[in-house]
Amino acid sequence: MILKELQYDFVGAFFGADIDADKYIVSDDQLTAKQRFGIYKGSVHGVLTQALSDIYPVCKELVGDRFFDHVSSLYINQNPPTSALFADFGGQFSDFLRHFEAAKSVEYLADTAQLEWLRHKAWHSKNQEASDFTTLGNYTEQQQMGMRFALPETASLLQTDYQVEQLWQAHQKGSDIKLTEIDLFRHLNLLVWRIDYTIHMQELSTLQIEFLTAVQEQTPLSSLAEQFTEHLSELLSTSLKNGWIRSFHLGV
Amino acid sequence: MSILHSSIHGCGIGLRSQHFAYIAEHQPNVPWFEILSDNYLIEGTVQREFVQQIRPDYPITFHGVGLSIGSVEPLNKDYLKRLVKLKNELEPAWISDHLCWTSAHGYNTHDLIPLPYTPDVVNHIVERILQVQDTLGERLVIENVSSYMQFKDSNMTEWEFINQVVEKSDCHLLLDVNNIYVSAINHHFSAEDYLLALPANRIKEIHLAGYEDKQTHLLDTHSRPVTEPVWDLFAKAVKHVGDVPVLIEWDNDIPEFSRLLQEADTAKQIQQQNL
Ligand SMILES: [Fe+2]
Repeated sequence: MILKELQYDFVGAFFGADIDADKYIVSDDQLTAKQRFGIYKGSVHGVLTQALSDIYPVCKELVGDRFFDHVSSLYINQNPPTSALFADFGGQFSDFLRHFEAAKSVEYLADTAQLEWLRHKAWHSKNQEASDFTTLGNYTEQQQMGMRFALPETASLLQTDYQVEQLWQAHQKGSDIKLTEIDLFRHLNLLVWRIDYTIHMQELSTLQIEFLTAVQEQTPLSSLAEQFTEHLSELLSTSLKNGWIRSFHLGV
Repeated sequence: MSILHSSIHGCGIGLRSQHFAYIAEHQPNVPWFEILSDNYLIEGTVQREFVQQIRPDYPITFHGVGLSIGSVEPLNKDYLKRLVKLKNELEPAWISDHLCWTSAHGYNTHDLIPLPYTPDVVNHIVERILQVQDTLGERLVIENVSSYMQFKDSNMTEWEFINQVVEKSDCHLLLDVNNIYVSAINHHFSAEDYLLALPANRIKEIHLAGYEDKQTHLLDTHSRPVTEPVWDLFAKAVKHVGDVPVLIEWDNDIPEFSRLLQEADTAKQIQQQNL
C-alpha cells in the first residue's frame, strides 16, 4: 500500500532526511508541495522545541533562546520521540549537550539539564502509597534482615561536580540566591523527589548518597548493616523521617 | 452500576492544566470537561490525581492523539492498555481520537498528519477502528482533522472518506467545525457541502476552536477565539445535527478560564437560536 512508503518518507523527513514532496502532495497557486510539507515539519518541530523549553528553562536561560532553539532542532532530528507518552520525550538532552562541541564552554550545562530532567521525571512519575513503617516491629529478626527498602518512585539521585541545584534556584523568579555568590565548582550529591504537588531537592552527604544508592539497588537490610555498620541506624532513621525511603517489602 | 454521573450535554470545556487551580478553587459551573487522555496515561501523576478529585463533580470525555488510527504500524498495545485502565478509573462518557496518523515506523510525531483518501485506506482504517472498539468494548468517536496538504493519490473527497469509514466501522463522529472551515479555505472547497454530507445521526460531539490566518493558509493553532465564519458554519451545523454536545478547545496562548466560559456562552446562544 502507498501508505507504508508515504509514512516512512514523511517520518524520515520530519526528522532530518530529504523528501520529494511532489511525489505525494498536490501543489497549487497558493503553496507548493514542498511548502505544504514544510508546514507540517514546522509544526512537529515547534511542538517538540516547546516541550524542550518547558522541560529545560534554566538551560535555555544559560545559553540564550537562539542557541537553545538551534541545539533543540539538532537534538530532535537525532533523538525523535519514540513513545506515545509525551512526557517521555527529551530524556537524552543532557547527554546530547555533554557531547555537543559548541556547548562545551558552559561546562555545567549538561548537569543542569540532568537536574531539570530529574525534576520533570519526578513530576511525571507515580506518587505511590507509603508503607506503614510502624509494623516493622511485627517481623522476626530474620525477616527484617531480608527486608528491602525503596525510594519513592519519583526519586532520583544525582552526583555532579557543580552546584547545579543552587544555580537552578538562582534562576527561579523572585529567588534571593545571587548567581555571583554561588560556589559553582563544588561537588554535589543530590536527591530529587516529589511529595504530592511539590518537588523537593536535598543535598546529601557522601555517606547518605552511598546509602540511598545501595537502597535503590535493592540491597537487603543484612547487607546494608554490613556495609554501613554503626551508621546504619542513623541513616535509616534520617531517610524515613525525611521521606527519602517510602516503602519496604520482605525479601525474595 | 457506577455512581459517577456521565451524562454529557450543553457546552463543555477542554480541561487544561493551566486551569487546575482555578477549577479546584471555584468549582465553575461547566456541564462537562474533555480531558486530553494522552496526558493522563501515567498512574499516580499530579494531573491524574487532579482529574480523579474533580471527577465526582463533572462528567468527562476522553480526547486523544496517540491512537494513530491511520498508521501502518500495529496498534500500540501499551497505549491501549493504559487507555483502558484510565477509562475504567474515570468512566468517560466516550473516547475520541482523530482520523489521521501520528506515529509510524517507530517514531511519534505528536502531530495530526492527514491521510490519502482512497478505498484501500478506508479498509485499513476500518480494520483498526474495529480492533480498537473490540479492546475498548465501546464505539470509538473519530474526529475530522484540519489539513494543509492534499495527496495526489486521493480519489475521493474527505467527506466521502469519512462517510465510508464511519459506515463500515460503525463508529461515531466528532465534528470539528473549525477544522472543516480551515481545510475548506486551505483546499478551496465548500465547507457547507462538506458539512451537509456528514451523517448527522453519527455525530456525538461538536468541537469549536480558533485558527490563525497565515495569509497563504489558515493554521489550526487553537490559540484564538472562534472566528465569525466558524460561528456561522456552527449555526448551520446545529441545524444539520440537532442538539449535540459542544466543546470549546483552546491549547495555545491559553486565556483565563472566564474567557473560555464566555466562548461557551456564545456557543450556547447560537445553538439555542438554531435548534
Ligand atoms: Fe478538535
